[in-house]
Amino acid sequence: MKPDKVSSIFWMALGMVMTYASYKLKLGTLTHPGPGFLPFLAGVILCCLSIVVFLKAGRRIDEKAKKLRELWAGMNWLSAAIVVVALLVYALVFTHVGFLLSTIGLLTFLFRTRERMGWFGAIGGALIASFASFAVFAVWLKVQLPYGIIEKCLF
Amino acid sequence: MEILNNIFYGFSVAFIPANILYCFIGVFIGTLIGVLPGIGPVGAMSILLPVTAQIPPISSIIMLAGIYYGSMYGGSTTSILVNIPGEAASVVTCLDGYQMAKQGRAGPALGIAAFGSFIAGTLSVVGLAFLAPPLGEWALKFGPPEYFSVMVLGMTMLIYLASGSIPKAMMMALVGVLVASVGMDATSATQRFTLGILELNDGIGLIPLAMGLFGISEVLINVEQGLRRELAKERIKGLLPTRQDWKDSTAPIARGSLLGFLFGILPGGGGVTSSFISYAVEKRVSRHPEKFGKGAIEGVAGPESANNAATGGGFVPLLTLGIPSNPAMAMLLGALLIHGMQPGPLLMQKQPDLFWGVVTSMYVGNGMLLLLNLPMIGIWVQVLKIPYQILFPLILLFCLIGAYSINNSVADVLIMIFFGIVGYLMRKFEYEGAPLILAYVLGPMLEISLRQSLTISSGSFAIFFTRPIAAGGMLLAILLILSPLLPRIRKKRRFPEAFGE
Repeated sequence: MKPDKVSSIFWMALGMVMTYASYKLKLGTLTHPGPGFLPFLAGVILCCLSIVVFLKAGRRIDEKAKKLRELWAGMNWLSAAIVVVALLVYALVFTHVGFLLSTIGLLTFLFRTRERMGWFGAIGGALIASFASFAVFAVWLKVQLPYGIIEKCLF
Repeated sequence: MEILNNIFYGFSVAFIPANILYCFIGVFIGTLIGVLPGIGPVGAMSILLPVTAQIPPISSIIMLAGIYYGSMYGGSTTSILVNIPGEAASVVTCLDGYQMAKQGRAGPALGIAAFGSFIAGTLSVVGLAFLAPPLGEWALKFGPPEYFSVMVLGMTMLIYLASGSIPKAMMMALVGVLVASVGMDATSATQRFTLGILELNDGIGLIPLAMGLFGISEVLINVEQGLRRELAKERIKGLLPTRQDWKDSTAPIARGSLLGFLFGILPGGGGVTSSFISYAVEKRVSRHPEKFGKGAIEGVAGPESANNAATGGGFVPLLTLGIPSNPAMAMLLGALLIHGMQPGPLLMQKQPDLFWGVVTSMYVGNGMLLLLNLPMIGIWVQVLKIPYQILFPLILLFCLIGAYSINNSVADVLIMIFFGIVGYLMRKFEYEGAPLILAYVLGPMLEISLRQSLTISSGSFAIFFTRPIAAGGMLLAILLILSPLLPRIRKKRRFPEAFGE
């Protein structure tokens, strides 16, 4: 299936959901538009444009038109997926274990798995980057980063 | 005479030591961002937005502005040396700049790019200083219909100038409007589309949205593609252009400066559009168009001047009307709003120190950039050698810190990651992020203007076509949207592929 067809179906679904949700919010009147007025208009036009894109994709006779799987052909998409998972894990744990420990872990993982650094280089780089970031953001710029075991021992 | 007084006043603000320091920090970071592919000025500005909340408003705007025009300087370095544009407005510089580097003429290419950028940037600031006050006076006549129409025109121009499909760009603008409507409605205090999630009551923040769409997604794309760089091996020598180089470049610099400034003013314009148009113009007027693409210095001088001149032009609608002309200006608008300032016609009267301080700091910044880009070229070359596989974790880290620091909330981090995935998928499926972010920033103002206009007109949309300024904007927007239906215009719209900003 062509990518534009898939994406237009997604945006159509989103448009329909937003149109319905906006309608429930109350459209108001033309003289006094309600909170749902502009999102309703936007949702309707989004649905219409999705149909246009869908039909264009269906009609196009284009040698360069890609198929869905070709978007990821020859790409190391697994690397990108691993990065996303690492970020999600980081976001979920770092307020519990503290900025430094979680950041050292994240950077070590990324340096080690993506760059294939040795353990010494990965951990060393992670330590330097983590402490430097803490110094710049938490100490100098007074950003309130979560404190964990390491921060409590050191500060 | 009054303008001169204002400029001197502005210099008194710009030369405050703290502001000089923040200007330097901004242009340095901007140059670094421009040199390093992987994150553009919008991503960098979004990462630093939460940091600027800690510093005084004028200093923060000076710094963010420095990042923007600094990145235009830095982008040329990597375009010329590595054939990878550091940011979108330097795409065109790759065409001739890299060829010059391969011919052993990297020095003159870098030199003319820096000098051209300095001249164009300075001229555009002069234009800003002289054009903004009368435009601000004129803008006082604007009412809700005029604002609505100008905003629609701005989004339409950005959509029209999108490198891909117009319907898809329009869809992204509509998605931006929908994203902006999440949270509390300003008029009726109704919660909209929050899905019962407490953290969405205040809406989706600009910073996590922009960082996700432009920062995280860029990293994911580059990681997936396994970005590698090959530095031009020839030693860089002789940064000063020769007399012949200057002779060949003077007219392109002048034309680029004018084009860049004018296109920078237009909503939807900016450095990317200006640089492409400048290249096309230079090739058209050249006596030797066959040299373009093979190391013609005009192909570097014109576009690099244009993209820097566009930065000054871009400030005109932002500071006088409060309407950003491109995503980078949208970030600056966000910064002004974070500091509780409302840009618009009254900004010059209510906050003259901000207005004239920022304008004059750009003179100072352009001078700093000339010093940064020429003598320090050796350092930037070393920076280019840092493997991307080491840089991207650091970019991710700064994004995570930046998102968390807004409200000390994990929710903002998760929103950023979510929009990072969305941005990644958008790029895979060829949807541009620029219309989305511009529409997101303009969304609340657009909605208020629309509702006020309809209240004034008792529900009639004719108000947008009966008032002259509003009618002009709406008709132009309609023409732009319909023009690609003409086959001749459809062919001419094909710009080379541009990176999203």
